[in-house]
Amino acid sequence: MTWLLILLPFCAAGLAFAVSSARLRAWILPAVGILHLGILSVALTGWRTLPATAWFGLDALGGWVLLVISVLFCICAFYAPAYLALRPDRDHRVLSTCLLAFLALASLLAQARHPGIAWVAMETTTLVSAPLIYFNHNRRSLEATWKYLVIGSVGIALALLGTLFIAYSAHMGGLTEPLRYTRLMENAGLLSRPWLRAGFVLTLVGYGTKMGLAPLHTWKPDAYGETPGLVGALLAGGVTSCAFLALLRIYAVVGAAGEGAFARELMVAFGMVSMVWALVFMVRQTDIKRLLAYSSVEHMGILVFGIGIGGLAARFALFHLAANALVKSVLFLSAGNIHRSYASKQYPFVSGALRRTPVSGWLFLLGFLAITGLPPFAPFLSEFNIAAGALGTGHLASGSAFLILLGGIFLAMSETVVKVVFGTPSAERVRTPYKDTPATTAPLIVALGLALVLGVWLPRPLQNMLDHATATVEGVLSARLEVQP
Amino acid sequence: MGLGRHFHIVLLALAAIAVKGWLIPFLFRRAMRQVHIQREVDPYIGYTVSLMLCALGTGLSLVLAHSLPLKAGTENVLIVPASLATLFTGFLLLVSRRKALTQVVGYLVLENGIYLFALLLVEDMPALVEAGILLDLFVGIFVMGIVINHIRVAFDSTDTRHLAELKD
Repeated sequence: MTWLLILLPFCAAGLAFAVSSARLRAWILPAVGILHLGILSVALTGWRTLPATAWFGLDALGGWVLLVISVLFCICAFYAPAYLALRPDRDHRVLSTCLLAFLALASLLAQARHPGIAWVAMETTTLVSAPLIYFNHNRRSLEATWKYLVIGSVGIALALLGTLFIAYSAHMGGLTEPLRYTRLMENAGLLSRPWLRAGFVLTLVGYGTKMGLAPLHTWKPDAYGETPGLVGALLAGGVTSCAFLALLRIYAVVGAAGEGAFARELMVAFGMVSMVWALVFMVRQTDIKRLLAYSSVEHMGILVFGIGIGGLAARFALFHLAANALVKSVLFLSAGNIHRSYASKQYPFVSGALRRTPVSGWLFLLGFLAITGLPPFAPFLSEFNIAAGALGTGHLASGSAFLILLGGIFLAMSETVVKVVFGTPSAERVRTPYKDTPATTAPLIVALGLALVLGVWLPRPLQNMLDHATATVEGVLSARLEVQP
Repeated sequence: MGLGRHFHIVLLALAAIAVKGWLIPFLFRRAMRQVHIQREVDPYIGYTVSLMLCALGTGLSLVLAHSLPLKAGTENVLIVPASLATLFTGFLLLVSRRKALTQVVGYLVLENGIYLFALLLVEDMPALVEAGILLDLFVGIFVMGIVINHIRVAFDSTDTRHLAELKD
């Protein structure tokens, strides 16, 4: 059953490449998105023990991350046909194929029970997302693609070296293949410590590059700035979640080996650096898509910070993965609409969005308020609990710094957002025929609605799943916690 | 050491010879013919300084490798410092050269360093993972090759100095 999650988007990618009608091809995306979400929901409802010898299977952690990606893909996919119809000049054969291939690879990564397979899936994700960034086929998108490829490839190469280091630490301990996560965690005591530590540092740097943690984020503003909002949303919520999952798997092994304190310190430090860096570059940032890219750097920082603090904060860091993905999709897609309408994404060319495109303008404003922690949206719940977790476990300095940084980031972002959303549209702006239609705004409203619902109510099965996922991340693995249909 | 493992190692060696020895150089020669360049003329970091830095990196690799224990029976193997030094050299090439093609060479050197380390584990890794490494290397180069071609068409050169429009 779970094989379908990989096979379906994979076959659909082939189909999308073969279909010659652009309209028909655009509608493959939402069809596959909804089917994938349906299959995943069914797969996640039936709980059964997963044998420790399985090469593939959905556990709570992988299931949670894949659920987030699947929902995000659905939102983007339903937005896609209307968006692509606005860009009749650009052939979207490669775009559609790569989007579907990405979904297949994310499903593979979520189910991989071996660090090698997880790495191959992550690497291939990098390759299929490169053509997405190059969608506009101009010099600027070419530059962004090149930077993304080179920096991303180096990151992924370091992650491979880290994975090999961890394999060698198992080799030193007398373990032989297959080194599945379950086996590594059960025999964590045997792993050679120096190699394990070095391996963790390398995987953190490697997958951290893919996540866009500062100072390894330099590809991010360029890539997010030059792609359509549709791709930006999927990169910011999907590709980063994949890298985060791959990192968490290694983190769990390190935790199980009793080196948790070392890993935690590194995670907290990386999280803090990312938030500070994002804040610095958000000040006076006039390009709305680059602003969102730095916001993504910040939220990746929040994720690793929360995991590093542990306990309550780790649980809400995993919750924040969903909150961030949903609100980021609202922000990127509405920024995309505003970009379409003004033929620019930069203040002062973009101003008075509430008048020009009222629905997208409001969505952008509400998305901004949600992502910076306005109750009752989901990010408020997670950011509040991560701070509470930090302060409650004696991390007074980092907990207070976390709150101060959140405040600073709110101020830095609001400066540009207020100018873009309010005010009057300048008289000499480029006239474009773009008008908000239900097709380009409804998926965003659904995403914002979901973020609102998650902020006040998390269904019981999802709570269970989050609890189990947190336990997996913290390294207390037992076969009971695994799920499979 | 069963027959299966021998077969696996031989297969891997053949694959490495085919991909690293033939396929990638072939792709490179073709790319070089297309963009009409023979060598990098003005790198960000000069040749002498590059050499010195590489020597320094190699020394550091030896020190670093010294602090990592090796499995009994292989303590004297120089694979770890060699792989770290290769990795460092590749990284240096990647950041200090302007031409897109030379940057890809840097990436290949970096990957070679990792491959060298993987040799320590060759008996214990399943074919699946190693095949994945070779495949990804190939596909990575392939995609980079396509992008280089686009850069050449768009800028009439593969100098990455042209790729400096996006900044804060």
